[in-house]
Amino acid sequence: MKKTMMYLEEEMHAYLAQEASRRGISMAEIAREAIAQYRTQSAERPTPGIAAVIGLIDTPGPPTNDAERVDELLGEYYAPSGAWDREHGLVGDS
Amino acid sequence: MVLSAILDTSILIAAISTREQHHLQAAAVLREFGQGELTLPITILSETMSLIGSRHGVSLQREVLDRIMASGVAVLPVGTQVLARAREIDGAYADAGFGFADSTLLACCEELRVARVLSLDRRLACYRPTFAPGLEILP
Repeated sequence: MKKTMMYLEEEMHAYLAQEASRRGISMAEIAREAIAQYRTQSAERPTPGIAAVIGLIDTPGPPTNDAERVDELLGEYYAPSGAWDREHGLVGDS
Repeated sequence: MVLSAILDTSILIAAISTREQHHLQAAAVLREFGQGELTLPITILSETMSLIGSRHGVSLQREVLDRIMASGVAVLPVGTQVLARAREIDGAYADAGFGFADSTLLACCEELRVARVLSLDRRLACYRPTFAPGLEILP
């Protein structure tokens, strides 16, 4: 085993001391149990994957086709006097 | 078998918004490749973020970025060598009108030797990679 030192909030420290006393084991033993449990849960938690972006925008309205108009839409947005210029105060709203 | 593919802006945009015309196809292919080795060139990420920011605002842009970063997808930096390759591709395929972002995506295909692209952009299929007979564009 390796020795280490950690800082705990007072409330957390008090809980740890109380729990150790109640169970008749050391505070370090509870910390080891908690770390082992955390590690197991982390390993079991699946990576969300790229599917996590599916349906992130789910607003009502007419169908759109932005996916096939990327160049066109960005061209409009960054065009002189376009939305980007207006949002950044480079031209007045008209 | 692990499926490898490179992600394009169009597939992400279509999958993210349920209003998109090709949402269901895009969502299906992302689910199919969800546990595969997916790569997202940084230039494509930038294009995707720009489009989402311009159309839906910075809050949603942040949410999408958070989810992509947590997804396990490899974000591929684009260095000088890949940029030089992209410039060559852009010049050689000038008639296709790939432009900067698509040319870097194709250069990343060359760099990684990955011949599968998840995209709605059928123009990409006209590119002839040096390491494979052709590109597979899905869905």
